[in-house]
Amino acid sequence: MDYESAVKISGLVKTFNQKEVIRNCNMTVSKGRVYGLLGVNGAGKTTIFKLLLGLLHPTAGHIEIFSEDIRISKNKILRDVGSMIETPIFYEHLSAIENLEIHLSYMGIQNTDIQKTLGIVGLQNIGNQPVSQFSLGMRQRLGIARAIIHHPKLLILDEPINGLDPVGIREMRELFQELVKKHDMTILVSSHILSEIEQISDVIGIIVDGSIVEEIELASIEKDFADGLEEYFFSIVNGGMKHSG
Amino acid sequence: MVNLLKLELKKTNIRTYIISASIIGICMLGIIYLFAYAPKIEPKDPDMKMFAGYENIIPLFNTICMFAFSLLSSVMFSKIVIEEYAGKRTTLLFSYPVSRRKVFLAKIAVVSLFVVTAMITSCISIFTIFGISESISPVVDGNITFEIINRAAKTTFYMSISAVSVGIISMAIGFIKKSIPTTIISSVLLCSLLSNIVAGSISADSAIIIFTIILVLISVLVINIMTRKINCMEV
Ligand SMILES: Nc1ncnc2c1ncn2[C@@H]1O[C@H](COP(=O)(O)OP(=O)(O)O)[C@@H](O)[C@H]1O
Ligand SMILES: [Mg+2]
Repeated sequence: MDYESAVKISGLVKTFNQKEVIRNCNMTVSKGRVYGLLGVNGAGKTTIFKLLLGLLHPTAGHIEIFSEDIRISKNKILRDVGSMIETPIFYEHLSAIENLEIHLSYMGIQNTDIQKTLGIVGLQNIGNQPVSQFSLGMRQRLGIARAIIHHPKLLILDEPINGLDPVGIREMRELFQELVKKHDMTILVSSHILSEIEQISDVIGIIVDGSIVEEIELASIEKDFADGLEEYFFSIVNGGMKHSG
Repeated sequence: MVNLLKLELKKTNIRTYIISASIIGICMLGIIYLFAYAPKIEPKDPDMKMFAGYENIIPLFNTICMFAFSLLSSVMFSKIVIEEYAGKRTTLLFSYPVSRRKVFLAKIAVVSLFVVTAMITSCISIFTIFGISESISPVVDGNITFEIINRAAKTTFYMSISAVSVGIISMAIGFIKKSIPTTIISSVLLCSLLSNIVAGSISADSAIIIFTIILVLISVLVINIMTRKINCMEV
């Protein structure tokens, strides 16, 4: 299958205090797909997402989003990106609607149906209570609402399923499928939990020690590995460990 | 830019600051009467000379006012600037397609305008109340001349600008450590230092002008440095 790429990372390196956290990382996310970035805690998932959003500057390497270099056209790219990095942060004393209004204003967008988006993520009857009274799951949903409300072309969600129950996970999967199909979005999600990634993505990228060691269609793993993703994942991760000594 | 200013207002709970400014105003009203009555309490004490006559009371009162509003401005800068750039908030703020410099300047503008307006409004109200009560039953010896009013107006204006500058400078110090307590402590220290200088040179009109200009220049410099820092900040 051949897809145009939404995100293309090549030779990416990021060091913090002389420590290489991302090393020679290559990654390609095709348009219109749900790409799951899978890796243990500390593998570098959040760091890669922050580099994609221009929140961190790469030490070396290139990042292209929709064929534009993030260092050159950052603001142009950011208009088309929705993101949620780690736990979402809100203006606690304001309501969900006010938080979304502020977000839209920064994004430079008007006339968007806020209630409809809240409905999509399952927060329809929340009224005007301040976000400080929200539960963890509600915050996560509001974070996703904020990431999609301005109709981005690329959605970047860092561990979006943290704090959701099994029903919530299923709703997210359905939501992602709908966003990809109806709104032509490309979705990039990360997780350290195999079963979550398996349930929501089409393509999986496995990150080990700051480098993506494998990018593969979920369907082909299911075909070749009878025991499923878990078996496959361990073979890759252990292999990766051996290579790096 | 207007949109960014409106957004800052929307994000902050501006009512809290209006209430704080009003409370400061009420305390300051008490202070001006305290100064006015001071010489009556101990008429023989030579130290009380500093409270003799309007031309002494008013600059002294303005200095205390500047102290109070400097603290208010440093608290506001802590909440609106330091808190946003120190915590996880920055991740959200920096993922918007807006110039970081403009957002930062919008924050400075909101706090500065608020503090200057609040201080000038408070002082005008206090002087009006005090002026009326003095014309009915005077406490202070001497007449309220046009020159005294004119000087009070000028001093209030310059001191309100100084109050903002002190806030900006302490914000810059607090920004190095990304800490709210540092910001507020810096502002207390700066104020104590400055009040002493001002109180020492109270009779000279030009002193307050020079002193304001120096503070403004330092503020512009630190805003420049901070803008550059924020522009290449990684979060
Ligand atoms: N700002 C930073 N300064 C120093 N080290 C960092 C910084 N951010 C992340 N790291 C390190 O980079 C590694 C990868 O972190 P991260 O991207 O958060 O992993 P993940 O999201 O996959 O759990 C970790 O070892 C972490 O300690
Ligand atoms: Mg992470």
